[in-house]
Amino acid sequence: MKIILNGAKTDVLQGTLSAAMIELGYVKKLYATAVNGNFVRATERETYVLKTNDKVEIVAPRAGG
Amino acid sequence: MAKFYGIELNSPLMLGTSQYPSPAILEEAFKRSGASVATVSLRREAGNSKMGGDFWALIQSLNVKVLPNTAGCYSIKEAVTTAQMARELFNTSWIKLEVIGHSDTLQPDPFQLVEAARILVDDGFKVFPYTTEDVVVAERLLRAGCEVLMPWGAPIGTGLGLTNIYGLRTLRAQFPDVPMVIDAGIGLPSHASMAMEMGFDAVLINTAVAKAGDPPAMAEAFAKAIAAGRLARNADPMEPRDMASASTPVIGKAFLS
Repeated sequence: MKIILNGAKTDVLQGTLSAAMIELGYVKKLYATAVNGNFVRATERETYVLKTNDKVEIVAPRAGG
Repeated sequence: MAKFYGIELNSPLMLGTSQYPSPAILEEAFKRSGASVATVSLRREAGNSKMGGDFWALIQSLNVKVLPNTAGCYSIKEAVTTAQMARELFNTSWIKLEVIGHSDTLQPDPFQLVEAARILVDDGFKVFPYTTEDVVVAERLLRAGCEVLMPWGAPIGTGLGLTNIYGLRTLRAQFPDVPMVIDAGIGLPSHASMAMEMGFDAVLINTAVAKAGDPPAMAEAFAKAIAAGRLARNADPMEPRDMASASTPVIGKAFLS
């Protein structure tokens, strides 16, 4: 199914946010996630089932002022 | 030294981590500045990228307190979600809350800022709101539960210094016991020194150091200026006056005319 990952249309297998992250190469623990603008805790990713066209944001630490 | 949510910092200098020519220069700038706090952000990461991990490892090696920001957020929802992600990732409830209201000046949106602050305080965050020198907004932020204020000196990245001395002086006088950090707009060490002389408790600097020709040297210059400003403040400066007053005694002067 298609989701919008960090602003880009992306194909993933139907399943949880955690499964999609592994499928897409997000294998470290250093990410924070949101779906459709709402924060999804790391502990919730394994049970959070994605739907078609969900807007998924995966972020990591960056420089900031 | 003022406490920020119960934490006494080693240095009143907070340093941003953005725009440095290289990670090594960033690291050297932090070392020479003695900064106590590093501001950081969250940005999109690709699945196979190492950027986030490498950056985080560098920041952790600096042994400073981390203050995540919500930079670039224009709505309450964006800011709140960003803060929630930052708390989990950086393992801190400190958040530098930015809710921008104007894309040219990067001026904070005071209406959304106050509401976002209230939501985050209720959720257990320790909020450092990026605000203006407006006393009324400051009062609303304090009422929302903020225990620290971060008034701007000038718009972000301008380097103009303290553009509204009267407003900042009024803000400081109105809330003498609230820890305040001058965030944004500082361009020169003298600006930072002036902020400390005015009684502000800390200064947050990024662009003025990162974009200097020699960032580590400028970081050290800021550290010295801030230390001088704080020392001067604590030394109880004289009051300015309009009329001249001779410093050399008049008594005993020879009459030679």
